[in-house]
Amino acid sequence: MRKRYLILAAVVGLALCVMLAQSLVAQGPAGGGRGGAGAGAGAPGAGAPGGGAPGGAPGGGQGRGAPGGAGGGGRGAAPEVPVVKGADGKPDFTGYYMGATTTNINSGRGGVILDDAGNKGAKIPYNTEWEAKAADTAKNHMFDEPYAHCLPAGVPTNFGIQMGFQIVQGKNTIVFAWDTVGGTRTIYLDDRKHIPASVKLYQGDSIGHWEGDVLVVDTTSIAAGWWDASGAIHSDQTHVVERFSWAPKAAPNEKELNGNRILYEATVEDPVALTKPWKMSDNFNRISADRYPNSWGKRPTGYEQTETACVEGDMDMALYPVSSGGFSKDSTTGPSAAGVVPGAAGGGRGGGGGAGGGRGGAGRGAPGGGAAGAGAPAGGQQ
Amino acid sequence: MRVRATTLPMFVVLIIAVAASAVLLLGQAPAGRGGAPAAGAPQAGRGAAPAAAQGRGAAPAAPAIPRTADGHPDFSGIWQVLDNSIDGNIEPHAASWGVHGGVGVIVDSPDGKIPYKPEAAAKRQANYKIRAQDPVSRCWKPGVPRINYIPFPFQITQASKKIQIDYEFVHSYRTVYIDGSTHLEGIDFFNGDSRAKWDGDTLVVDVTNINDDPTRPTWLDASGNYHSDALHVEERYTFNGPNMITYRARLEDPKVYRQPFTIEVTLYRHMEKNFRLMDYECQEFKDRLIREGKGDHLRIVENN
Repeated sequence: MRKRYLILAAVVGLALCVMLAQSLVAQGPAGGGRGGAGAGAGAPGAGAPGGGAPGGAPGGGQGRGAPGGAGGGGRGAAPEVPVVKGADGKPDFTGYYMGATTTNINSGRGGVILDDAGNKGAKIPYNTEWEAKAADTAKNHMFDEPYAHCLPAGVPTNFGIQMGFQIVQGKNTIVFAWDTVGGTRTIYLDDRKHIPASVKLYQGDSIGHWEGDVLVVDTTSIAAGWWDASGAIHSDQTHVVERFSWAPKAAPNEKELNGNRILYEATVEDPVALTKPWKMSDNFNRISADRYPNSWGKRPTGYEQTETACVEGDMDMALYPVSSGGFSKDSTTGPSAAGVVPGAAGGGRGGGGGAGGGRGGAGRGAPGGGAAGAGAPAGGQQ
Repeated sequence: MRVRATTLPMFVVLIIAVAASAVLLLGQAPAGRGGAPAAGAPQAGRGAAPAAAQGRGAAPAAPAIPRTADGHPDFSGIWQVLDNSIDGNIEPHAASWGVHGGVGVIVDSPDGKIPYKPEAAAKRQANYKIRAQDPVSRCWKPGVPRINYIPFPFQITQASKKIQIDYEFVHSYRTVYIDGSTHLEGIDFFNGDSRAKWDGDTLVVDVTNINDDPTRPTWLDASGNYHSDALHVEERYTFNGPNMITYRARLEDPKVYRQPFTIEVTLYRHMEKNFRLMDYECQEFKDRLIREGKGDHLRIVENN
């Protein structure tokens, strides 16, 4: 008799326990983007909120907070995606990555534009006027490439135009820093609004939110610029929506990329220059020395992205003749100087270490950068 | 009677079971939910877990300073000095063209001045004469510590093992490592190599590997106060309330100074709604000035 009561009590207690737990978990995200959470304090299963707004944005003006739902993130994470998460239960992208080098976005390795069927290799859908403008830029105005003058490359250009970058993920901001010209970019995750469209920034104004385990970033106010290093110009009316997520589980022969590869997708609108938006898809792989801490020299803490100094080593304006946009009076090269510009642009871009006198050696920024940055005048200057 | 005697304790057991489960769950709640960061508010994100570990308890009593989930002060935010006289001259000085007057920021020198060696004092005077060519006005990196008190905002993003500092001025940035790593060898930088550790609630950043290229120097201010490549800076970031940082930097440079000295500067959090880092691509403006014939003093003068 007594035993039966005991068992009954235990069962009822347990049931109540489970019910309470469920109601608490369900309240979590619904409770208004409390998110944040998890904080390593054990119980990541119960605690990891699905899609609570990171900043606790009350009401989540932009429909944040919602997806994921009850206990989503913690439990429901698809096993096919090796998601690296931070203490707050959100995917954590902090690390060093490489993108494809997209010197020409319309061809070759740069063929990241998707066609209607979702295959890579499509061309920028320029309208007739801008097709001609881009062609003229490629032929006659390569000196004007913003990036060659140490200006941040823009969105999504910055992910393809140079090699490495790092991500540091904080609570309300995720920041990118590139290892060559050294542009930086901030994704704000709090409840702020876009800046007025009349103000332009090289990297635009980026506001992000989480949709489950996907970071969705909306970027406006991007200054007119180039989508690559080959004259693919765009207007100052672009609007870019990007999605960052951990890439699906890799093939067995690439399994080291599990949790080390970001899937990047972007949709680019430019009503002035395009007949329709273009989409791209790319992978950012964690720099291998960052995957294997002991492989980067003797540093047990692994790879580090070192300082880049572009303006300090920038000699293109000083050394290029006036005829091609520089300050030098030299006229021996004349108008044909345009032909040699790409070489020098490469020099200016060297950056890292640049004026530091090429002492380097240690950092990835240094090789090439050290020499090229300071010694700039590639070919055709004399 | 017998039934009563046995059922009563059963109810007690039941109540205890329910109470225990409730306590268990409620106890977990703050740990699981943690932080409950209020958007942008400095109190945000004080992780419950370590707080509990430090005996602060789970009660979300208003914290004096913001903290990260691991319990350390969280300096994330956008900061700037209010006193723009500092970048003009870190020593006490009266106002001059384009420079606010200021009482100086050196706190451990009797006259508030930099303890230069005699020959270094002469070089500083020479620098002063060419201050129109201040490296910062030529758009080069300001170096540490100056980069923290030029009149431009900077943004701190704090992760557990590193802190990224993004500066609005020419999109410069520093990564401050708090992972126990040592300084790099054989390479130097305009903004140095920054390795940090926590001293209680103070972030202590050791900055070495600072370069001193005569053609691309970094100065301590716009008046030609300077250092050599032997400069070693120890920065200390301490919250003074949730929205102010007391920033101290101890500068040691046996080639130039008779003894180390310390500056103390207050950094203020930008509280404006929607405030953010913008662009200041200085070289664009400089190039335009040169093109217009007004910026010859800013030209890069090359010997090669």
